[in-house]
Amino acid sequence: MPSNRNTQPHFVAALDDTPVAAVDRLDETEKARSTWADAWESLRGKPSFWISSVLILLIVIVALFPGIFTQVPPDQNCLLANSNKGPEEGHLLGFTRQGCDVYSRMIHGTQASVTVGLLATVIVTLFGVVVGALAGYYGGVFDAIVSRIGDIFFAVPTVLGAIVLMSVLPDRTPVTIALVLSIFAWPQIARIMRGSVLSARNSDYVTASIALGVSKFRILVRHVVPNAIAPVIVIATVSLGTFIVAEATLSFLGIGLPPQIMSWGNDINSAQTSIRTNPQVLIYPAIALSMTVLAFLMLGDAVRDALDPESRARR
Amino acid sequence: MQYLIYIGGFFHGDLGTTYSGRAVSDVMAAAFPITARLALLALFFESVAGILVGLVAGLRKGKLFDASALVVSLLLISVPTFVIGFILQYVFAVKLGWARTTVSSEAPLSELVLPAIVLASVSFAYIVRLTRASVSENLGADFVRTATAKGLSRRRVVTVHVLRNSLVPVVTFLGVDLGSLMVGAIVTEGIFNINGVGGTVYKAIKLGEGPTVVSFIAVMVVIFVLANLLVDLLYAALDPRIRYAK
Repeated sequence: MPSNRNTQPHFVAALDDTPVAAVDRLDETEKARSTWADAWESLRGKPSFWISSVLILLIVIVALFPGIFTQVPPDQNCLLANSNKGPEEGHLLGFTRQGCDVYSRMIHGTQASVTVGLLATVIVTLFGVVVGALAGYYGGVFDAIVSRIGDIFFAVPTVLGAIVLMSVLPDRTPVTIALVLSIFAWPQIARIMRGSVLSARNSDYVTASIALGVSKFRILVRHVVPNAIAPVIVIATVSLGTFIVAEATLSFLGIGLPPQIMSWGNDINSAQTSIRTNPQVLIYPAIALSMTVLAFLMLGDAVRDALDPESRARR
Repeated sequence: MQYLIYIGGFFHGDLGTTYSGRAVSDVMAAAFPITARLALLALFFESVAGILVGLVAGLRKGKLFDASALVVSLLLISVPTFVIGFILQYVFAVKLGWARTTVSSEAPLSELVLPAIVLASVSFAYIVRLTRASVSENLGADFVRTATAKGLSRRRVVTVHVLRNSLVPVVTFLGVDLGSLMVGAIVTEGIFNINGVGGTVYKAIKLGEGPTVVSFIAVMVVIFVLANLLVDLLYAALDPRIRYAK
């Protein structure tokens, strides 16, 4: 880039070419608006953004304080006499095969499912952003090594890889599930971040910072990463939903969370046996699961439209 | 050391034995045709229906059909495969009696229709969204305007110019999607008790047969990687604009 500059006759237009009137007409009182302000402006007008945000807020409250929504203990006082009974006073959605309250289990199952999804997303995003940004910004040997390692894990579909690891791991907790899912999911974020950093690295504001004498690392942290992170945020939102599905699928196969931890996947798994006689035991946790995933997908879609001016213009 | 012996055997086709004493490779040979039939049927459903719905939605962007296609596809993506499996099994097999709840051991095509629809559902939704997005993008492209200006009929513009160019991302997706199709096959074949590759893995997981699970999934991953290589090579044939360096 700089070598190119030297051959140019002028950096800026010659003084007599500069349209002074145009410069004078610039309104300096108007604040420059960032991508984020623009995105927020566009998000505010979207019903899908508000619906998904309210849903997610509700899910978070349910996960943090299940006691607000139900007083019925989910796994104590289960009477086999109530096995597979229909809804009754105080037990809106009926009972499971073990005679536990379906509604209460659905509420208390939120926590484990959301924890796994959130934890996996945080791990994948942090790791992917750091690795991807360093690889894209510094390039060289580090980039080559990291990208090839990423390719290896990228070649294995996340849930297939997780099935293998989970079926041999001795103890299964929300943390181990999140870690196992992250092992196979981080290359996606790292790749996107790397590509995004690569294109931001050559922009004018980076050249300007170099000219001002800002250190390389500081440019990366202060200028490149904030400008390159938008696509990662979209993917992270959507993948929170897919991690929750992955956990439920693993639990459904019996290699997810251990049975004593309440989660939607476990409840759906144990409801399999009574689906013919008592389908509601399966339907309600499934609805809770699907609504949660739907909320994160909708939010991801809305954020993508807001952050990507091209897709906005196409509408 | 054990690992090296296993890997050495793996490349020579020796995948070990299951807990019941059968060689894993024998079990796989018996199971593979059934899964191949199921997967091809699902691929057929999802690509034909998905491209069709996506094309119509893309052509009528913003209309009722488009809006409902978007909502339905979003719902299908959010509902996990095993939930769709149980619901369809309950409604069509238990309540209505149109299909069998479990598939017999020979797994003829007619019995595989319902499981194939379950397996296809999530990918169908993705294909609809992908086709819709690229169709509506291509509709505004210069070559479409040129084709229309040349006086070509709408039908020809849509089928030859818009659709052909819109299929490139869909084909890419089908390659990547094979991975989720495999996971879906484990779940679907488990629910409908099909004796295919997925059903065998499902049972092995439930019984805690680690070695069987590892061998089967290793083979699945190899197939997945090879299929994606094939897709990459197909690119150039499908889109002359993509050229690999010589």
